[in-house]
Amino acid sequence: MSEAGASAVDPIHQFHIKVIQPLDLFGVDASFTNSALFMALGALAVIVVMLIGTSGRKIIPTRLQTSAELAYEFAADMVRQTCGEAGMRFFPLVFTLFMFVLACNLIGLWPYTYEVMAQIIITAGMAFSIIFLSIGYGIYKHGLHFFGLFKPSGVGPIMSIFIVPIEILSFISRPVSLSVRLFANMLAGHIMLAVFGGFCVMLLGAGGYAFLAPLPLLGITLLTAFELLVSVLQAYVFAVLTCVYLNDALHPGH
Amino acid sequence: MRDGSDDAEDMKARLAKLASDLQGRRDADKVDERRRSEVETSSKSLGRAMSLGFRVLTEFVAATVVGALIGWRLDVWLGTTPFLLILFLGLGIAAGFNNVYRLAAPPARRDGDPPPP
Repeated sequence: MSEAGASAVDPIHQFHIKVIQPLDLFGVDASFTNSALFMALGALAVIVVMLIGTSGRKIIPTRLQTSAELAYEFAADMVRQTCGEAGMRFFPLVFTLFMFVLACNLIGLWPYTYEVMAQIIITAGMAFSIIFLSIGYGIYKHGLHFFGLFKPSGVGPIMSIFIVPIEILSFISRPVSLSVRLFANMLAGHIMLAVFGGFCVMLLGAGGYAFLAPLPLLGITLLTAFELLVSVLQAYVFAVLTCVYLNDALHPGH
Repeated sequence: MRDGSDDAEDMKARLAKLASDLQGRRDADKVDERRRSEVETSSKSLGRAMSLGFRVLTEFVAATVVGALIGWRLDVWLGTTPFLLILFLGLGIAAGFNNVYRLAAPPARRDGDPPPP
């Protein structure tokens, strides 16, 4: 197979970072890439939907207004249920994260676009900022009492020797699992789509077997519907777990 | 030309027929709707179950990997190969089980917590 043909069916090829506008800021490579472009598009999509959706304020809402209001109420309920009323101070953060992840995932489902959340550095950056915020706010709010998070109540001093390291390790593993979950879901889904697309192309070029080519196409259709579900669900899971981790900063101690 | 009582009889019969037709249509709609909602909830619950399963997997693997990485780097740093790796790998696996247990166990109520949804 030729070089160009190999890259057409290469399922990883879609994640390549391409530099659109080279930029060098004080020795730091800050080039504008396709990843940055689709992050900007995701943020822009959220801004447009929320600004236009909330500008009308009609009694009988338009579709855009309904979707903006639904998104707000969904996220507000989520924050209230996991963190309580005190958690509403984190609502802007959680809502921004939820909408940004959701918009990036939905945009990434279109053909010829780029899935931003399939880059672990993006999800890890968000997850670690959340954890550092949670630690910082916990210490600011509760002082050293925040570290009571690592010692469950009703545990004797001897058991603490075992329990406390385990609790600390499970706290450290949180940003890792939070970032890996979103990253792996999006990466696996988009690789699956590309692999099925590659099947389609290869079957078309396989002479007598070309009549089988619509089968993987049907698979792609079903997978795309499934990926839509996964995109929304993973954005939701990311936001809910953000709330859960921030809740530990608000109410430490078991 | 028909007389009045015949007309009324006719009307009654038509009304009864209409009522039974409507009832039949309503029943069919109800069955249809139930079937549709069953399909919807089954696909939704499949997605939910898969995401929960993936959560369990990542929580467990992440804790184990983090424990192993910490042990490995501390070993390299302190020159105690391989004892800290073994210790922290064990702790990481315990933390992973702890994470999974917390996912599965119903969350303990605390004072000042919002009521469960």
